[in-house]
Amino acid sequence: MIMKGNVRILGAVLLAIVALAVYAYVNQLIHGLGVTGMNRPVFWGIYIVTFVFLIGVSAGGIAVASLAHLAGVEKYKSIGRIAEVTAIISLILAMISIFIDLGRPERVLNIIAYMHPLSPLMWDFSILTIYLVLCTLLLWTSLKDKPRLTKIFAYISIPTFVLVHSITAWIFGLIESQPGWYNAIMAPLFICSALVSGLAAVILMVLFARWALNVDVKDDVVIDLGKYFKFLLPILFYLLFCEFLTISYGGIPSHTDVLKEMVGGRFAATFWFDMIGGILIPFLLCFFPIAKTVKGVALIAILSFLGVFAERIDIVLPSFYRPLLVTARVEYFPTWVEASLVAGLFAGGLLMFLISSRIVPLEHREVKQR
Amino acid sequence: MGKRSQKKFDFHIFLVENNLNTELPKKFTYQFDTVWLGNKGEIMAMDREQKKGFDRRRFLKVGGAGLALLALEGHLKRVSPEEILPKSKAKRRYAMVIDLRRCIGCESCTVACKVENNIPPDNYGEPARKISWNEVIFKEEGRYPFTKRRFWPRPCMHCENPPCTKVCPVRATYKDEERGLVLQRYERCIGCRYCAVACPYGARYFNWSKPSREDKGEVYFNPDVEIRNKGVVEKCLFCVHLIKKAEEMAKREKREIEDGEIKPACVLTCMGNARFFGDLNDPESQVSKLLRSGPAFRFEEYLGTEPKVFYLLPR
Repeated sequence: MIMKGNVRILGAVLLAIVALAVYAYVNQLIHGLGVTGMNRPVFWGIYIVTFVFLIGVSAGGIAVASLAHLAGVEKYKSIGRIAEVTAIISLILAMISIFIDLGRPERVLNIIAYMHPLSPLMWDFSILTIYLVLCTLLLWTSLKDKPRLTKIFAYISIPTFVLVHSITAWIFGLIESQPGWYNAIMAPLFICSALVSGLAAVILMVLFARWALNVDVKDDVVIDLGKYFKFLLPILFYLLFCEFLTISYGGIPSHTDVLKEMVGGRFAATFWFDMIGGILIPFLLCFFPIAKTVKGVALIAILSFLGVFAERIDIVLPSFYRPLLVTARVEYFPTWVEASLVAGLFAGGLLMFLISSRIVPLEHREVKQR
Repeated sequence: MGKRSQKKFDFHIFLVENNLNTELPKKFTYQFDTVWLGNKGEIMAMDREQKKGFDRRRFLKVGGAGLALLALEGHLKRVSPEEILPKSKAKRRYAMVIDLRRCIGCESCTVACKVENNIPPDNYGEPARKISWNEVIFKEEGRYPFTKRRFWPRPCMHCENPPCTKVCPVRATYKDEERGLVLQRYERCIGCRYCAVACPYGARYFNWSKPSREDKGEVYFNPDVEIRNKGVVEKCLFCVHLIKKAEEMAKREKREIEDGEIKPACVLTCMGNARFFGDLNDPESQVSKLLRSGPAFRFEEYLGTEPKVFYLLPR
């Protein structure tokens, strides 16, 4: 694969962003998490938002790859490899983003040494490890061209996929003292928004690979992938609507407070961006002729990608702004350390994608060889 | 608050104090805060009414106990001290009773706690990152002519069903089954702050930065309490070092610990004698007697955390 000159420049820029992130992380290691904007009661910030988002992104890869392997949809085979690589990379990034959130990262292996079976965080740690191994096996078997093994792993990956997102949702959904989180809809909502963001990520990565690495993917494959937004976005809206209706109809003050914070409070911007820019506009775009073009699909993908990120912010943060007993004024804004670390994560992801193209053939060569 | 019945009550019904720091709905609501039964089974109910734009509390005496009980059965959680007492296998269950009628909100408990437990006097200059194991929470209520400033001290509640220990992935925070306390292992904590997120009372604090020179306790240093480094969570431990000391002393003298022998720093320093500390398992201890003597409430009871810090009602 030949890299264009532009790609080399892009790689250099990405490397610079990653270097800045490393500098920021060293800073955070030395001075503690005080260099972030987190405080009491906003104990979790943009790192956890990014973690949840990246977990979601990793879903799309596996879903599309499974479609290719199990349903035998022939035309998806050309993007199956890209989808798998995207999934693995975003999974690794998610694990990094929860790691940088720790106050004592050097003790992370305590999770194995002093395992507590009741903690959702422990479940998540376990399932993420399993998922990473599974994704890698799936990629490896499809690389080595072992269709039977690939099919077995693809079958296992489906329940694991459901578990990964449910458990990530349960980190939040099982906490009864956070009224904004304590909700049974959390797990389905996470699965659905994971699919939306994952699908968007796969489309964007395919387009990126086409531009940067000249991977041969036909236009109609991308346009075909774009059709799934037509089904996923209404489901996502429906699940969100179920949650909001339950909260507002019941009218429990601690719950409605969080909703008010989202609809008309300090999270109004992200909330309405998610509702209109992330769900409504892309959904409507699906029915216009623009959805039959690659550019149109890219626009839909970008919008819903950003929309799901906004939704993740709205899931994680507003609940902290209305604690049950703490009465101090709550404020949170990410500092340069957090911003550059999150930027570094995404830049590092693209960089890993570029590098992985040297190791893993991103094109599906089966057809060409025979 | 209106009239108060002079009767002695045999058992109590506690209900959820669910919206202490949330705005009351604008429309008329009728919401029971705390309800309890009298000797003959009549319901003594306290309601919260907001009809004319301000918050007014008064007592309602509701007749027709049976009918009302039936109606309320589904909504109320009935707990009597006798019911709370024998439930746990723990040998002792230390609890705190805070008499809000005596508390004047002077915050000396907060200061005493800081001195006793080597808590930095400096909050890194950021109020939102302060560490203060015991806190007096002030809350203004009502609108202009009818305003009220309420306050209540808030140590760690040392719940019977602590949400924080459940979520800790490394068991750095755990329930001490012998004493019924919720303790913390600083050397094991990975600093994920999940426990702080899960605590409904905001009783957990994180060390956002390295302790500064001053914070290392060089000014007032209590050698019995370890200093926490950056990146771990800490909380009120009911002065467990004092409890352990008293236990050792009693063991050496071959006797049982007497009621009132252990006094955490906040209890010792309280100038209004508003705080009481003792063993819930002992029906003759001061805290048990106080709980039997009249109405009391606990925060966020509806969450099922079974906190062991009880508040006697303010006037």
